[in-house]
Amino acid sequence: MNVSLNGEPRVIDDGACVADAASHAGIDDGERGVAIAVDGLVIPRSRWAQTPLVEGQRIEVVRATAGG
Amino acid sequence: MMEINVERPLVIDGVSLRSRLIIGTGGFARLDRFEAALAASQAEVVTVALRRVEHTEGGLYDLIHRHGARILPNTAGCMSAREAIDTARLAREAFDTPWIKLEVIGDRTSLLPDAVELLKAATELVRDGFVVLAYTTDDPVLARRLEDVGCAAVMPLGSPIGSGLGIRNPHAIAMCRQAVSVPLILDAGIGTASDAALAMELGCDAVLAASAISRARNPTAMASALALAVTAGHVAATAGRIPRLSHATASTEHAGLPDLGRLP
Repeated sequence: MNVSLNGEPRVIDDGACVADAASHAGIDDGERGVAIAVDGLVIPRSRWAQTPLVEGQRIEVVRATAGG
Repeated sequence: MMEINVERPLVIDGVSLRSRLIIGTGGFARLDRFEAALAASQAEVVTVALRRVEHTEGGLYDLIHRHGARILPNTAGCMSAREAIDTARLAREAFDTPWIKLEVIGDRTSLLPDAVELLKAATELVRDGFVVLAYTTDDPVLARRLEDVGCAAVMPLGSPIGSGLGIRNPHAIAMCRQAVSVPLILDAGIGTASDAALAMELGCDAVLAASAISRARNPTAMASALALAVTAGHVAATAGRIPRLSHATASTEHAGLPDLGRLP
């Protein structure tokens, strides 16, 4: 299916979940300090593995950066 | 360093902090330089921004944790209440903290706060359980409005972000002090140690410095200098400055001056 991952179009497997999007974005399983929003809604990490993605969703994967 | 008895710790949201210097992470070319500055600053609170992962290097979060410092996420770059609220929610999930340094800027040139959007975002975030530290202009009326909606701290600017112009309107900062009883933290504009000392002498409870450290020729030395200045200013504020007079006032009694005759 087609999704938008951090503003870029991506094709990911049908049935993929938020955790799969995290690995697509290069996030290791153990990495802390990361958050994901799907269509503007924050998905708690505890639910990444159980939250399926659907065609056309916008996924944002963020972490801490120097600034502010 | 001489041990100075600082009367009371800074308390934000029930958390007691010995250091009254909060540092930013922006502008460091390398993570190890930030780490050295963090150690020198003895800061217990560090502010970080959130960005898409491909625009960031990992490691900052773990580094701050390793030093035992508390993360204060910020909404740097947000230009509307909506954007700032969404960013705050991502930050709460990423860092497992309800603390947020709320920044809502009005344009990308001045980087000055947008008062209307700021107050709107602060109101909604407080309602949602956030501990809001609001970056604001040096306006005592807005400072009071931010306290009224439940902000945990008010952070007036001394001058624009990254300008290093120091505190352009000390009277306004002193009025902000009078206007609120929550912690007042001078944010933005610090250029060097004397600016930080002045902020504390004006009654601020703490100072936030980012560019002043990261863009100094020697960031580690500047981090130490700011830590000393913040302590000095805080103790001086407690001690109480003497009034300014328009004339000289002798500190030595005239009586008892020996008569040594007239000079030739």
